[in-house]
Amino acid sequence: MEQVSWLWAFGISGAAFALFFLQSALDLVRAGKATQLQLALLTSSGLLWGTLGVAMLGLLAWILARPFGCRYPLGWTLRTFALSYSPALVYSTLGLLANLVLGWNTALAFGATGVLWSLGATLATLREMLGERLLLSVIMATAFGALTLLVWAKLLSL
Amino acid sequence: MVYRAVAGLCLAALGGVTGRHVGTGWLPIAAFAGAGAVVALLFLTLLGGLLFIANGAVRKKLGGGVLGSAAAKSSLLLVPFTLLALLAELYLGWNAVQPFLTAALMTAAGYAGSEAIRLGGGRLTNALATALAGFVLAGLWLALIALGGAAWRW
Repeated sequence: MEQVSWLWAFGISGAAFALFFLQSALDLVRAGKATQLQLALLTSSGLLWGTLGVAMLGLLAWILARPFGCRYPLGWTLRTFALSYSPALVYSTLGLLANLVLGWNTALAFGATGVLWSLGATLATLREMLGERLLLSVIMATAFGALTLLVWAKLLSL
Repeated sequence: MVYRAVAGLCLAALGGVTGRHVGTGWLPIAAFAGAGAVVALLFLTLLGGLLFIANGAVRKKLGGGVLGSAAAKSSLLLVPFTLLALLAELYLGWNAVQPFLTAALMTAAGYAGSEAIRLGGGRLTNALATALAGFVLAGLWLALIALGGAAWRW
């Protein structure tokens, strides 16, 4: 993991959420509920969440995991957290294609689904950091997943 | 037993939420909650069975119980998706249980497979076995929803 560059790792998570939020904005624009400016703002918010937000979650996970014997360095944690959103990037890319080419509303079917699939990778990372403490990993992953969904829902409602 | 109860509760909850969208009143909610509990038992049975079949070497070395335990423990992986689905449905007002349910089943199955690999099982066989379990049960669930919806309208 140390050989994975920061740019690559956070490029993946940033792109995943940017494309996810972009799809949400496109669905809203198509329904006449958002403007082009709001589309740009929402997409930018996705990029911010996918980079700074994911880094924050990774930092929080690292801090919470230390008392349980986590010996992975912070850099490893942040890059692994970012890379765990690779499934989300795949889903978001496919969803964007379906959105633009087929005119489907894809934010939920592709975007949110991709984030859910990434939860599995996040769970695996947390288990590794917490020494296979499954219950604790489940609790933390649930909290992080809920935070992500709530942030997305809040930004959509603005 | 605890793990089976966790799986049953999770899929019953997801089933009940699905029932809200199929019809009105408590009947579809209760029916789909019951179906969810049954799907949970089927899932654990199928997953445990496939792990048992796919890991002969692990069985000989450590006994079949460890594979059953891996399958059972995977129930915990259903919890985050269930809670997030309830959050989305009840607090955010979304109608989006199906992605949560399919992701839950596949992630739980994947965990069981990774445990079997950690115990010495083959990577490819366990990846295929657990993917099959998740895929079959997710497909079964979608079929149940379609049938239930058709039955309710009829």
